[in-house]
Amino acid sequence: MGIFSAVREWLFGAEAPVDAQDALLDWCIADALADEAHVPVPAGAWSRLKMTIAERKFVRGYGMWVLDQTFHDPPEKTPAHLSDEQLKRALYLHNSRQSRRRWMVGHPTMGGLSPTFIVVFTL
Amino acid sequence: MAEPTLSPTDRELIHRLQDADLEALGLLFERHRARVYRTALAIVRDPAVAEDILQDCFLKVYLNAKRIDPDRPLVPWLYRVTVNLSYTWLSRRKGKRASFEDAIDNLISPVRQAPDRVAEQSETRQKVRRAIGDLSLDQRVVVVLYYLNGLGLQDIAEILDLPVGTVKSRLHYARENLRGKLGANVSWLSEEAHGYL
Repeated sequence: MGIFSAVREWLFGAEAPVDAQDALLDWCIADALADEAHVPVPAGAWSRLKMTIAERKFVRGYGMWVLDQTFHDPPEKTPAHLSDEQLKRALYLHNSRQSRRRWMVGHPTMGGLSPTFIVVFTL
Repeated sequence: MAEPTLSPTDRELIHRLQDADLEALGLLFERHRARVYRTALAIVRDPAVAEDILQDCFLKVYLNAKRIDPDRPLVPWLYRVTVNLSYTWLSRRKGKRASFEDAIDNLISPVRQAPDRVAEQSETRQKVRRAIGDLSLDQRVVVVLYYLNGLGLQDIAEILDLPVGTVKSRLHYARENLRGKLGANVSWLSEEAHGYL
């Protein structure tokens, strides 16, 4: 049995009253947060802040804009220009799609009446 | 030139700051940085983010200096900004998928310290800390302001702009939640705590 338990039993008997448990819980919470109470502030924080103010530049860290900026993600970067390769590919896809569409729209009957490959092969 | 014997009050420093005196901001920063940083750290549980919040908080002091009333105490205003920035950061982060390891690390470790330092922390503290980390943000903020900063219910109510009854209720439910998470009664903690009492 620990010293605390012995003192508690001596003071309150075997069953600690609610007040004692509350006090213990309070102590435990405060103790658990005690580490934060002694954490040193990172060195150089003031220099960085002063530099930020002096240079008036935005510093982005962990998803936050520093310098009184609204909190939002930067817009998705969309390509404003296509490279030659991308343009060629896009045009090719567009043209082939268009010609296929034209054929389907313009020759529905021919498409339906033309013999299948297997018929031509058999003949 | 004679050195001033008394350090200037917050009121005087805010007046100087309103005239764009950067040195006054430096003195305010020096005076209040610890409470801002530690409060942010206890809420967001990430030193890098807490430092960002510290910077952002004092940038707001600088940029909004003209709007700060020098006759009113600065500290509650700083707490309010700190809490609001912490809320903003956590709500933003909520939408993003944090890695499992990060989540566990944040709940267990109060600060990302060296492994040997973390290893020294007692099991009890980790249990309580994990339980505090599991609290809802509203409850956690009240717990941090009450237990870490030692503020009264009235002060917390003013900082959070809430009725005192709401603060009291949040604190009550936070304690009940902690009690529930730590066991029906906290008597088991006494064994762990005996070395400190």
